Amino acid sequence: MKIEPSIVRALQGNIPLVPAPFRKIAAGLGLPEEKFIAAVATLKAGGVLRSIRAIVRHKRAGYSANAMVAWKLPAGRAVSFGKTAAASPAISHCYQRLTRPGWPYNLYTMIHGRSRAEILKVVGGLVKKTGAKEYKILESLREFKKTSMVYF
Amino acid sequence: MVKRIDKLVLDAAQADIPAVSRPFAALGANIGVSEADVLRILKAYKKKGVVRRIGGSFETRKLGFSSTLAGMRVKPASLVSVAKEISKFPGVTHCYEREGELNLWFTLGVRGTMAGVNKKIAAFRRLPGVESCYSFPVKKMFKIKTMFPI
Repeated sequence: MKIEPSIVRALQGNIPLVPAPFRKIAAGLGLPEEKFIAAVATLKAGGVLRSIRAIVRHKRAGYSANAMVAWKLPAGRAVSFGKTAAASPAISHCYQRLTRPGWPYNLYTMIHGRSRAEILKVVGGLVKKTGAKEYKILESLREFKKTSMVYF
Repeated sequence: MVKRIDKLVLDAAQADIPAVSRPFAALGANIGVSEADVLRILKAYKKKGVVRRIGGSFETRKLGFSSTLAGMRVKPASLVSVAKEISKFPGVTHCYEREGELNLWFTLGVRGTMAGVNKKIAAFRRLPGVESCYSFPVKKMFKIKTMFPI
């Protein structure tokens, strides 16, 4: 699948908040609106574009607690744990990752809540459901950067 | 207190804005809100800073990028300078101080193969005050879906 950088560039920032934003973007690229919309549909169908959406600053939306929890799971349990964790609405990201000597944690969950207590409740629920025993709650203390990737 | 209509619009817009000629009209039609109200609410929350961006969410890997999550142990006195230096790199999209032995965490994406990621990690490891730096590339993705019900 050929990816047109100009289309990605038009979507990696903000789309204009006007009734027909894609017509406006397409005009800037010298394309008919239908061509631009078709290109977006292709990117979506190919899984390159997950979605066009509003991205919320979670702290401003009242989700003041956010913790990355690193879990140490036996190799055979990682996939079932991952699936269970992914089903929780409080968990936005869930990945199995490589480990390193001295850092045996192989599964990571990003948990968001309105308080530390809410985070602990989600963690407790996962422990109960999966039997996972070893984990580290890595609450964020300071945000230095949070942005979206600029691809082209 | 958030108005019900605001919540409807912000929750729907976090899920998906359809790629059609009048996306905000289409989004509104599903939740019984007019196009004008959808646009008014999105503009207001963007201005307030609750909404950071309205645009595309891409699958980094499918755009030819390699990425990782890295955790560092940085001497507390150097933490801010290291964090600022790392954050200058455009491929670093998230950088947080966290509790625990690895006190600085960041995500890194680089066009091309993992070799480019590893090279950048090695460069960050050489920053003054960095005691250790581990890269934890993804083995399997189970979920990526940020949704914060308003």
